[in-house]
Amino acid sequence: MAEHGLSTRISPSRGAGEILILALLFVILAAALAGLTVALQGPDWVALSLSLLLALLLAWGLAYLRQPAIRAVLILLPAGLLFLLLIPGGLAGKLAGLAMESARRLIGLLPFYKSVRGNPQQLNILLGDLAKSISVLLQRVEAWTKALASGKPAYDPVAATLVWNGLVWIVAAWAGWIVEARRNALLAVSPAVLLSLGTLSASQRLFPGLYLVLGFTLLLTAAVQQGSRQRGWNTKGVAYPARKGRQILNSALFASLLLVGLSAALPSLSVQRIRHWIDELRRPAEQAHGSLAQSLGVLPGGTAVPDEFRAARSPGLPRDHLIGSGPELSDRVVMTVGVENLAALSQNGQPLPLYWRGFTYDVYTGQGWNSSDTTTETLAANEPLQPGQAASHIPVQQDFSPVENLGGTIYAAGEPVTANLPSLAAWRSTGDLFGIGSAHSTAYQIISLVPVADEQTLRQAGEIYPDWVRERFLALPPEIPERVKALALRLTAEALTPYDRAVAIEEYLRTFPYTLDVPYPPQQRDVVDYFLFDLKKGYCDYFATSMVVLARAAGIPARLAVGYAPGTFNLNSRRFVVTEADAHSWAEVYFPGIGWMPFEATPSRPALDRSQPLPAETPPAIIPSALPAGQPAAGRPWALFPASLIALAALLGLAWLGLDDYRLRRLPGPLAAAEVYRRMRRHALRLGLRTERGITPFEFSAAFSRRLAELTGFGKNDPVEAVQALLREIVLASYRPSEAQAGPLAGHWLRLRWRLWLIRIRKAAGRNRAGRSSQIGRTVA
Amino acid sequence: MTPQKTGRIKNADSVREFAGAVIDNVEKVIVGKRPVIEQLLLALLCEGHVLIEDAPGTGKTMLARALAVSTGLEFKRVQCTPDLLPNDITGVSVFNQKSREFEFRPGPAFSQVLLADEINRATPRTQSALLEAMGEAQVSVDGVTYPLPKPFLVLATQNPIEFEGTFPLPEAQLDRFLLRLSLGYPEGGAEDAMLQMQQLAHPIDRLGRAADGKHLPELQQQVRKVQVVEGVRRYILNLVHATREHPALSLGASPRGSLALFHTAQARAALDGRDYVIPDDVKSVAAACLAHRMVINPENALSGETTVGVVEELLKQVEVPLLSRQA
Repeated sequence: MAEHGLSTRISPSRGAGEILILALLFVILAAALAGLTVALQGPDWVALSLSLLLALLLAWGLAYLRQPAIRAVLILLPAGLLFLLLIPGGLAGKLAGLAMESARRLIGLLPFYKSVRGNPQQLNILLGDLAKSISVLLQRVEAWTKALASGKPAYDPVAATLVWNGLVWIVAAWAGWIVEARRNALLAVSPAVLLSLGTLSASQRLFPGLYLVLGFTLLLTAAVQQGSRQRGWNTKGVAYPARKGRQILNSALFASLLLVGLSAALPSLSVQRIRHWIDELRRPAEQAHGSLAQSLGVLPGGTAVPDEFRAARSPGLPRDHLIGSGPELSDRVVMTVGVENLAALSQNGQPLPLYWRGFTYDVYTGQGWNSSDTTTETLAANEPLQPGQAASHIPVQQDFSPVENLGGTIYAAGEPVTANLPSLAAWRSTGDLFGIGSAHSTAYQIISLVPVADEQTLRQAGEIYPDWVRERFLALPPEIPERVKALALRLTAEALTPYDRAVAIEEYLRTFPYTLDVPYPPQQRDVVDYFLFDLKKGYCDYFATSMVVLARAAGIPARLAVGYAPGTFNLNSRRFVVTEADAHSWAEVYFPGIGWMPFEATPSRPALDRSQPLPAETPPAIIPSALPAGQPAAGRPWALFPASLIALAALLGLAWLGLDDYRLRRLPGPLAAAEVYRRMRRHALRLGLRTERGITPFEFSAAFSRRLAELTGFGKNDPVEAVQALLREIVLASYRPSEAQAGPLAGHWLRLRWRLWLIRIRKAAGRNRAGRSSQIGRTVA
Repeated sequence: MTPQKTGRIKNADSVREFAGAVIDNVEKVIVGKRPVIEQLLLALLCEGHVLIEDAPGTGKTMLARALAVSTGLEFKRVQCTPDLLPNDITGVSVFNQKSREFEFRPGPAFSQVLLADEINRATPRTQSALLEAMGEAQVSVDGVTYPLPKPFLVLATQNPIEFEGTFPLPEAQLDRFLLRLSLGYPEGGAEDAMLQMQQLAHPIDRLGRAADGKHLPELQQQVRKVQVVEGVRRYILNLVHATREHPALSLGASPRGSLALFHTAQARAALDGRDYVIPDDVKSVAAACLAHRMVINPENALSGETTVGVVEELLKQVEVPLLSRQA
């Protein structure tokens, strides 16, 4: 047509405008993402940016190709899931291996390449491995979601990473789609900005990049508006000067800069207001939001403890446990320890290794260890420190005979209950003992609870941690390098329970060689980072510290314990002989309902064996009465896989329906009518109604009613009337737009659409049968 | 069926009531032809004229008379023959001996419903005089122009069977008719009902007035106010443009055709009591509005294609826009 020729002749370079819009959108989203990474401890920003870029380009491309929304969702969702599995889920290597193996098998099928054919079992093994990994990932997310639903925060970095990456994917895909398909910059950007703002407000942090978001959003709005206006001019054949667009963009740039400058000049006003407002909103549901923020790994900002508290620390007890160069360790005997009831602690004839613990530390500084504020409690001789019974613990009486001066430290295996001398206990809080000291440096007897939980019990312990554990024993300094966190996530990505994750870290560290001959770590360098990536060897302090830091980075509460290793068991005296060389530090991991369990990351010490429960004659370890609900047994990882997939799909479906309904209601009446009409036409087509191109809505109404009546029969619940009523409204909205309203239309459509889907499903299900019977009919005829 | 007595006509419903009353009344005489009667009413509401193509004896004259009686309009009839002169239709100036002046004697054109029977038998000169009266709503006699009364509806009939001694209307003249209708033979049951009805006397003799034709100018104004959104206008234009590009046609519909379709669709909507036009309105009148304005290629005509068929084919093909571009 003539009109078309005109439009192509005067159309300016449309591509440049599109690229500008896309670039602006990317900058805005990236700035919002930067706001996220400021407030988050877990996710890796490289993966997040990749997720952002891919989703944005994919969604934009789909919109650019004029794909229908439903198809775009159907493409974007699986692509997002695949991306989640590949990059944040860390399955890229496994998938690549699988692809290589399949390729090899395929090539091996050719006659000339028989030699290439690999082991036929290999593919199955790889497949099974991959399936297991995916299932573990899903179950972790599921467990995390359940913990979240129960209102108890459980920070699992892998789950949080997956969720954040998923969120970023959705937000970026939304932005790309909306900006191209709906030409609405504000709507496109708002979810990203809201996500960023919400996270920042939850973490109470300021992020100046939000000004950038603001400014660029204004610019983007101008660019999008101008772009769609130019499109309109092109289709209507309006001639306009090409510089018009540039002029408008320049003024928009100026206005944006002005506004950003203004808002940056009044920072306290805008950001504080928004934060205050959000705080007001959050107040009634403070608890739930707090736990959500914690579950997502949002860092708490300012310290809740006032500084005055710090001053009231018990003098002398907290100390820096410096990790220096090789301590001089000799074979000098420090003490001997006799243990009552040792037989009960034996496993396969070997006595259970008992670690004589002096102090525990909760604060990792990057260079060493420290303890939080403590309060001291003076105890008389034989005064109980804490209850003498606990699940999965055995009370054990020990008899310490110091040979050297122990410096007033009271050592004990496990959790001390009562000692036969006056002592001073330093508590960080109830149940969180820093250490015990005593003025009397004599022999003493102490009863303590030794943890004896086996693998099975530990796996079932769950991830619902008490507040004090979460607050103290998951904390890491903000300066901790990303690669340490990434390593922790990589090591633990496929372990289902915290116990398995801790074991994975332990096993990894035990591959490093043990040596006392190490240089002093460089100043201002994170010790763990230095040890893991440069030194790659060391002694117990390095191993234990790394174990604790990696465990915390993986979302497992852990602390550093300092004291002595069991020493040698003298069969004659039936006592443990502890030398200076046995001075040791090790990691302890907290398990809900059980307590602290030692982990041995130092390769020079024998690994702790928890594979078998203690023999039956031992005092019965109290099995935790209430297992955490829904924790799947480790033996059957597939059990909840389909259920969780279905639940996820249903959730996504519902969310999409809600969003769609909201969008329809927001449209102007005629647009909503056109959209609903288009969908009904598509449903009709799928239900086998072929119509002419020139069909009017009323004619379509009649034809569709007939088709539906054919398909459903004239039942009580037949949707024919609903279809006709809806089409009457569509006609009214389209051809008498002055009175058009999207609300009732969207409501009718919401009620009708699921009926149409039901009919479609029923038709699809009945197709085989119908096909067969009609065939029979034909042959008879 | 209550006659419209007094009062201004305010909304689209008044058009529907008026038309409903008239149609019901005419149906007492012309049985089973409601769609045709409705289209006749459309022409009346649009100030347009109607060409009825039909075999003899199908009730063309009776239809025109019944319409005139029902609306109380003045009815005249002209039987066209080759010797009919333009003055026989428009009127003639005669010399009055007493006043010694020329005096105008109005012809049958000075009526409100004029039936021009077998218009293709009149000479082209006479035809064009009649068509001028139709188009301009005035006649010129001896250099003096006389306005015709309002409303003015011409019903011209044509016999499609006989071609001997006829002067077929040229395309330019055909274009002046708003609609071309065809009564056709009554359906079996309707014909029987007609026989029974007319056994004693013709019902036209007892037919009364159903509505007041004096309101027609107001109703015509009402029709023009019916809303036509951009999407429907686009539909009309697309349809008309499609006729111009159709391979079977040597001549498509004129811009006057677009206008006629637009206006008739408005009347159709008003007839249904709506103040907005929907595509169904356009579809229902498209054949009557457009078919007689188009010329089919002779080879297509030989293979049995008709312009009505082309319009119906286009109605199936041209997409109905739902959305106005501005919305």
